[in-house]
Amino acid sequence: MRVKVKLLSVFATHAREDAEGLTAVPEGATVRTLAESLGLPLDLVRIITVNGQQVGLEEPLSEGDTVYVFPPAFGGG
Amino acid sequence: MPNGYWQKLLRVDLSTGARTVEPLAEADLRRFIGGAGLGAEILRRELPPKLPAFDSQNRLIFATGPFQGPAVPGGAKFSIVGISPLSGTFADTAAGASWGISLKEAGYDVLIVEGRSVHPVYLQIIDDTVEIRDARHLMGRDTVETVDAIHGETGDSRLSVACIGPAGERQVAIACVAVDKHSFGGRCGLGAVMGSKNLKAVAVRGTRKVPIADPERTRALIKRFQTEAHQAVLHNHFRENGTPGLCETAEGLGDMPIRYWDADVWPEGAKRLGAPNYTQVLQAKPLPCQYCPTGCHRRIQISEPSEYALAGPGPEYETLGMMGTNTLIDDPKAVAKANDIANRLGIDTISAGAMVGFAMQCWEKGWVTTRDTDGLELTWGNPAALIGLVDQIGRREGFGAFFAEGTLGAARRIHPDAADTVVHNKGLDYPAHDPRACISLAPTYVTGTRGACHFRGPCEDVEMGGFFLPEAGITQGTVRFFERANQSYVAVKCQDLGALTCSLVICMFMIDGSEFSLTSQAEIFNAITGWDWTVETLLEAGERAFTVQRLLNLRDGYGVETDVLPKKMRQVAKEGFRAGKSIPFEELMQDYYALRGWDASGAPTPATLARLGVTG
Repeated sequence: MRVKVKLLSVFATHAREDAEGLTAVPEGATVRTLAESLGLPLDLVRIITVNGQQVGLEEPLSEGDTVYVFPPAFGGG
Repeated sequence: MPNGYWQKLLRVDLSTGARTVEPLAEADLRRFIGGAGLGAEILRRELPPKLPAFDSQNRLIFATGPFQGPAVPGGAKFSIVGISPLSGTFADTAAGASWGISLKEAGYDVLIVEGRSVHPVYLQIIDDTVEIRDARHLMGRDTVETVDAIHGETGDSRLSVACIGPAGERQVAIACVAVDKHSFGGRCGLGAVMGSKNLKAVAVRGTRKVPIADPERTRALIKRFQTEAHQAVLHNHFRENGTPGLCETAEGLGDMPIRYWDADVWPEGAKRLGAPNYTQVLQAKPLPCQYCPTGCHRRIQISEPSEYALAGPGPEYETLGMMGTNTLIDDPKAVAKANDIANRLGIDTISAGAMVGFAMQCWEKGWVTTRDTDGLELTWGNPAALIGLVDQIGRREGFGAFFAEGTLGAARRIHPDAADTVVHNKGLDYPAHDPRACISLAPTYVTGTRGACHFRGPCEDVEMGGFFLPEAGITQGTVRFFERANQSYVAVKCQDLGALTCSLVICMFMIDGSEFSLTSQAEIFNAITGWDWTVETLLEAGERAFTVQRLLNLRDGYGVETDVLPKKMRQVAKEGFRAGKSIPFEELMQDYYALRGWDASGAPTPATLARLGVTG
């Protein structure tokens, strides 16, 4: 299946999209599976949303989901 | 026994020229530590309620803590405390560079300036020699020129200089105090108070090392924490990107101000303004304060276009938010130029950006026209409007003079309906974090003792996963976006942390971004002071400091009736992460008052005061 993955700021270099801007993941994949396959540093993955809802790393993914993986937000000063 | 304090307070009365050194009681230090906590208690003892900020009795308290003696990572900070011209009540602002360390090396923990000089002066403090020097020739000079002039005429480039620019001289209510050209005590307008006292600068240098309880252990801990923090900021990219690294995340989570808080999303703008684009376009490099393992400040260089050319400190996240997305300007060079003008004239870039966004909104509504602005077109996204209006505000000229008493003051002059649209608490403009996204900010802002401030309670970074406070039971998952549970608890603990941080005094970015935990800070605190404090004792000192500040707010006329959200914070987003969400404000405040031990009027109960050992 394919999902839309949005990686911001320092995570952007981990993006692996096809021509349609989608990322292929195996059936039954979770956010963790996806993050590991993209080589994201899991200790820096703190906030994840799927279709606008805050979720955890073990959230299962479905075809067409939109996944945001945010880098940690310090430095708000 | 050595404890990291001189236990000395230097007092300078600019009305009489008197300079006195007074003892600081260890009992006070054990209750308030230093910085903004001790400063608040001094204000409470020395000033009557409702004192106008520009009354000569107002104090400017420059206060250090135990961390300014040895080279504690993030310890190159100090607090400035006084009554704010924006709020008419307690204010503190913190700055870095080398000034706090220099005051300590001169042999003092605290400097209090009171009275008003008959003509402009600056203070020069070198150990026991405290001179009040003529500054008439420095009037009109900006914050960079002032430092250069003082270094030039004294022949002493090692003097650390805290000064005001033209804005402070003209008592613009958002005037800041600039330190060594690159660090700024920005918020609350204490630069205007300096100006009201005819005090252009305080230049300080010292040759002494304050005795500490356990020098060997302190050295070992500093070495360990420096290494750990440096490794952390390399790994998490904080050193590489500084605070501009936050832009895309903040925007993505609905936290960044867009179109003066009326719009909900602008990912393209945040991407252009934030790092890594910022780092590349502005050729940004870390610009560390003394002893800092992180180096979050940016040194930037712009060579073209020529109207934006500059070399110096670059805008922080807050400035990118308030002068950038807030005004729909996405050119980091334009924001950097406006930031540079604000820094040189000596105004707070957060409030200055808020003012420009507010003015653009007024323009759009037809409340302001070219007749008011002498031709300046205040259209959204117009860099010339940003740069032109920031310059006018800092010089108190043209339409910018409307803002001399703050955004609320301008609103009252502009249109009968304008004041309702100002986004503030206690007259202090909101910083670049939206409580509709991180709802723990709602109680934080409305009860903020210096007004709406994220940095005296950085709960938004907890909500967005930037740091946690496991010592207080706050870990990943303690709060979830938009859900009431634990939000007010996080707000309370982060405010206590903020007050503690400004009392020690240490940079907030040590715990928030550099992984210098509160447990580690307690270890080094004990090695310096020889006291046997726990994290709980430290946080309680933060709570005590916050409570004393709240008591100042209450006696100056604030309370439950001013613990309210500005109207715009009731607007519900139509798109983006916070679409359809609203702040459960009344519930959060109910939780907040209960956790604080406050009564229905917003005052600490007698039991709360007794627990903290504070007199009402």
